[in-house]
Amino acid sequence: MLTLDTPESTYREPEYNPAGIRSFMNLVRTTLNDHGVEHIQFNTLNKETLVDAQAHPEKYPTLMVRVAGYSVYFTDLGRRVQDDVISRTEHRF
Amino acid sequence: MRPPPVLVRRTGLNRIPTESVPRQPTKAMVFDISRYMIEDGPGIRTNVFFKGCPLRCVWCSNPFGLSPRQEVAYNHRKCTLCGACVGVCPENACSIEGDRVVTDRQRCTACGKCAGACLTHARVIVGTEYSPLEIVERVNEDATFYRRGGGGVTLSGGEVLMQADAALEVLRLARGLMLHTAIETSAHAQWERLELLLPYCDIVFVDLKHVDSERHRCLTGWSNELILENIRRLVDYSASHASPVVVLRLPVIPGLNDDESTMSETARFIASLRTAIAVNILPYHNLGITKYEMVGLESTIDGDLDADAAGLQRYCDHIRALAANAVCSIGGGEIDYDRLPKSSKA
Amino acid sequence: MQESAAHEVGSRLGMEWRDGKSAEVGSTRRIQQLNRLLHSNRPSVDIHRTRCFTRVFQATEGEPYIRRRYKACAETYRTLEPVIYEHEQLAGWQGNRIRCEQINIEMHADWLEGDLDQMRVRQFDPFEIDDDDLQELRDVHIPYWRDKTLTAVWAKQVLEPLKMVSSGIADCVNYLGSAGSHFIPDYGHLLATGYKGTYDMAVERAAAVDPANPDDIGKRDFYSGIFEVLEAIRTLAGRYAAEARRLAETETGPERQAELLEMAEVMDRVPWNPARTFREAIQTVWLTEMLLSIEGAGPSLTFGRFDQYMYPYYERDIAEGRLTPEKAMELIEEMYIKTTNIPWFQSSQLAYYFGGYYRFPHLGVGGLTKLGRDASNELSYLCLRAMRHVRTTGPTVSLYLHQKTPDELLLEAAKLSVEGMGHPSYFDVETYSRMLEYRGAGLNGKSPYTREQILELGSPIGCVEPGVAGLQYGHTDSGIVNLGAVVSLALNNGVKPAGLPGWGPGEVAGPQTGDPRNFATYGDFHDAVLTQLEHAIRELHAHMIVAEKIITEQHQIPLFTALSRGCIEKGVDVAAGSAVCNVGPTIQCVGLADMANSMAAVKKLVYEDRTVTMDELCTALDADFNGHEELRLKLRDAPKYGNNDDYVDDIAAEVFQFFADEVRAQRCYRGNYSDPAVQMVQANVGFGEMTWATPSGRHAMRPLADTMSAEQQTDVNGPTAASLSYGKLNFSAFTNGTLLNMWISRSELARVIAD
Repeated sequence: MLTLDTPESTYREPEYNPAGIRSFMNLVRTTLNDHGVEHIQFNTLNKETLVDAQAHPEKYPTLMVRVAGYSVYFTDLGRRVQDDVISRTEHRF
Repeated sequence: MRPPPVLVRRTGLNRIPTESVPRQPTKAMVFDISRYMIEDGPGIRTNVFFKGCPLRCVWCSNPFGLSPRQEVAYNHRKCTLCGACVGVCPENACSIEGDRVVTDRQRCTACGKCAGACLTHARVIVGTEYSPLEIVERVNEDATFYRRGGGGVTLSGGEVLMQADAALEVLRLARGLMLHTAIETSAHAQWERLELLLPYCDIVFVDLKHVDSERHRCLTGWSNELILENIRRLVDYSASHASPVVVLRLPVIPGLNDDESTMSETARFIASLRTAIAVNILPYHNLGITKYEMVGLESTIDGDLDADAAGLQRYCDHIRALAANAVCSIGGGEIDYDRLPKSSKA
Repeated sequence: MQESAAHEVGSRLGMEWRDGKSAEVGSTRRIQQLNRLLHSNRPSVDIHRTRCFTRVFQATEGEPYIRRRYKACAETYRTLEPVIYEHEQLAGWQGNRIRCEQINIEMHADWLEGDLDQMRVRQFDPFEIDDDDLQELRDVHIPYWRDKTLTAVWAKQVLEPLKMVSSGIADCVNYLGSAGSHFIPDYGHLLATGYKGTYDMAVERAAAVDPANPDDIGKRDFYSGIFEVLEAIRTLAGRYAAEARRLAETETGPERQAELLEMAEVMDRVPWNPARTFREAIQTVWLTEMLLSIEGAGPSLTFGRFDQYMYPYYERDIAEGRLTPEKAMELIEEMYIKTTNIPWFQSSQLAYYFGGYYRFPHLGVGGLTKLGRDASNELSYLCLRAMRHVRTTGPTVSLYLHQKTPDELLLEAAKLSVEGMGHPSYFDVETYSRMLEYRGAGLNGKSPYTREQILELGSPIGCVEPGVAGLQYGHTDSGIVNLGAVVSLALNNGVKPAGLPGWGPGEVAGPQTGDPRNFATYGDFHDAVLTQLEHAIRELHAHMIVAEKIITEQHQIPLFTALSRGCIEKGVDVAAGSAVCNVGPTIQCVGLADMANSMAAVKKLVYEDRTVTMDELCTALDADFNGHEELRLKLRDAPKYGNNDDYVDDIAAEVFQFFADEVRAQRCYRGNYSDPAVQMVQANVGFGEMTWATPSGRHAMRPLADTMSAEQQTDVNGPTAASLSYGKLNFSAFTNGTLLNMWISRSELARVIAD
């Protein structure tokens, strides 16, 4: 694994759930490499975050979501599209 | 009708080899088959929840697993008070009172007519009878996802040993398909029932809810001698047969089983097993509270019982200090299955 | 109440909340400052390009179109203002402000007039503009270009323009508004030879032009135009170098002064000459990317396989001690910020579908080498890691996953997924390779690509569309067919239901397939749906090939041409069909799940269980289920796509294949065949609003299912079952790509989220 020395960075690595990450990797590999699905992308936000961001957009200025083949700032979206993003099914393990 | 163009059709998958067809068609009463489970064994798994449990743990987070019979569950948040259930019930067990439908559980036979009439699925029948073959067919749908990471099937509950015959068939058929198998049990059953399943298990998760017999009786309704004895025999079996891997699970319910002396006693019990053993400390999640009222039970969960990280770490440190034979982890997702001890006598 | 009003203007307010400070993230202070700069600015427009185009076109009235276009592009590049901001290392901004976009007046004039007044305040994607510029657009540029745009010319030539841009059944508005798009330059070649290499090649070929040969008519214009454009780029680089030196003279900090002087040296050399270092190479790539975005009006100008063509420079610099991985990542982060800086300027109508300013740049890592070995290298990791630090929307970073791709790289990608930004996308190398083997080749053909070319240069364009760097040109996001509306037509004897917005509610919009109450069998209903679908595809295609013809005649794009293999040799503009492989206009569908679920519900309830009659169904649909909630709930209980249920998945697979075969049978103006896709961005919401209630149990005007995903809230058996459903579709037939969204709860992947 590539280790970098970035003392000035604003980024902090979160504490990962090893089983969650491993299964996620397996899901991606199997869906693509075994079942031959061309492309897959993920929204990995908790739904509650998005609902809260609708009510309090000022708290989430840089919250990003995957709308289709690209990411946009959630607060840049119109209400209807925001609602649609929220209504998509969230798979919990 | 136009001839359809080339159709992509599934073949092969889900078809069990004929030689593994069950010897006797024992049915299993199951209340859920959940896919993409990741905390009860390695890899991506399907959990089969057997219905019925001999224990009555006060913190039980899945009351759907308690009764061994089918029952009606009712979620008033989904109910539109249309009254269809009241009309179809042959026992006159349903009535509308205020903002919800009340079910007379004495009269209800769980015939399912109300659930069939309920368009919003506010009323559902909990518990489905499957043949072992049907269960394994469902499990095997995700076979391609099990291949990486050593996934497979975990039989859980409720208490799987209450339906040991059916469980045996499920495990046997799953083995026939080269699936990885695990069971999760409270070990509160005759040893013979557990022993029956062991040749077909790769992993056995066994719970220890409280090491003190009297406290165990208060918290679960039964003393723990049988359980402690079964854990010892299980560890011995595993050592002499070099299989299955045993994972001792310690569910931590704050205030009920995480005091200093319980931790020490538990650690001493583990040390007395005198063999390297995986110990998994399991934080409690209070997910089932709404399910109690759905099946007409009083919730026995008192207040907020979610465990805190520091307490779990303390428990872990305690065991490490007093039981050198324990390989400890916190949380189902943290078990490193590649480094689990193979049981062998010290 | 005030709160909900705030939501409705969503986009404007989002921008205001996102001040520079909140976005001050990055691996170094420099990157944090640049990110701050990006987010402190509201998107705006510059009319420099517009002025150049009007000036050149007015002065060359009557001359050949290609000569005028090439001259106008050259004029734009030559006179672009060379702005360098503090903290910058990479030179190149496409406008005179940050987050600034040039108006492609020759594409946009027709709609711009109507949008001008509300441009600063419109609901989706508002843009700032100077008062003087606004007035100049109104007085000078719009009057000149108004009737010359692609949309204006097209509208005069086709039969039902309004229907094709606003019926909600089939639509090509995206094609009409974005010529010059969806392209991966051959960066490997450019880095190796510089623009000088292309120039020398053109000199050689120009010498062979024979004025007496009828085939060579127009080639003199082509070559002299190419010379002028390439020289203009060289001049522009020189002006950046001069600007860097000027700033260095007044700079007091010695460190920054040295940086500015280094920048000047880099700009002296590239992009005209071959790159020698990582620093020079990334500058070449960035300046080119930026110029392409000025030249073309459209989106999806793709970086392609950045980790592959950049690696030789990276490797050599690291070995010789000129570069560290951290420094390389900082440059990559700066490039990400600059990429995000380019907004997409589009009409209010398009912004309604594609809102969010995003211009769909795409950068991919991983994959295989041309000989089929794992291609990942340290840059693959750096490109993914950079995104965790810099947190920008662009470019779309993706991982090309093959069985041979190491788990370590997949883990690096998974850790980026945990960040919740939607990055990265994951692609299966073998599936998109197979798509490329049949790209643009019709039902029985094969594309001109070799396996080696596909493996070496293949990468997705825009969202998911398979492309090959430098070998492929054509619009890959052109036409849309709304499958939900198609079902609706079949249930209304070809009439678009009244009460819907857009063109023609209550009017005949498709073939008359008969009163559904007379359908005796499921087969009758099935055939009516497919007949409507076939008709929608053919009608859309007929409208798009007219646009395609106009594009080849009057939308020449010299820089795209110079960056495509073989076009300079042929002496023909790439838009006119000189690429190795021409693709598009393509057709995609929206609402696949709605159609499959609707057909399954009709099949099961009306014709198998017979618990609902067709009359009851039609009556309930007409009333949008008002007073028929019981029936709607029955429909919701019918089998739903996305749960590994063969009953409905087989229908989805059949519809998917039928759509693909119909589309691939359509021949295009430049000789290739059309390609099908399911890739549509948030259009499921916009098209949903123009779609009546469907037998899937969906209410009128509610969103359709997005892309090829299951309908909202109907895939209830978890991600593996959903994947199994998707895996039953024949992806090779969808030669223009498929897009799948999945939602995984973040709390399952990480315990503590660093904010």
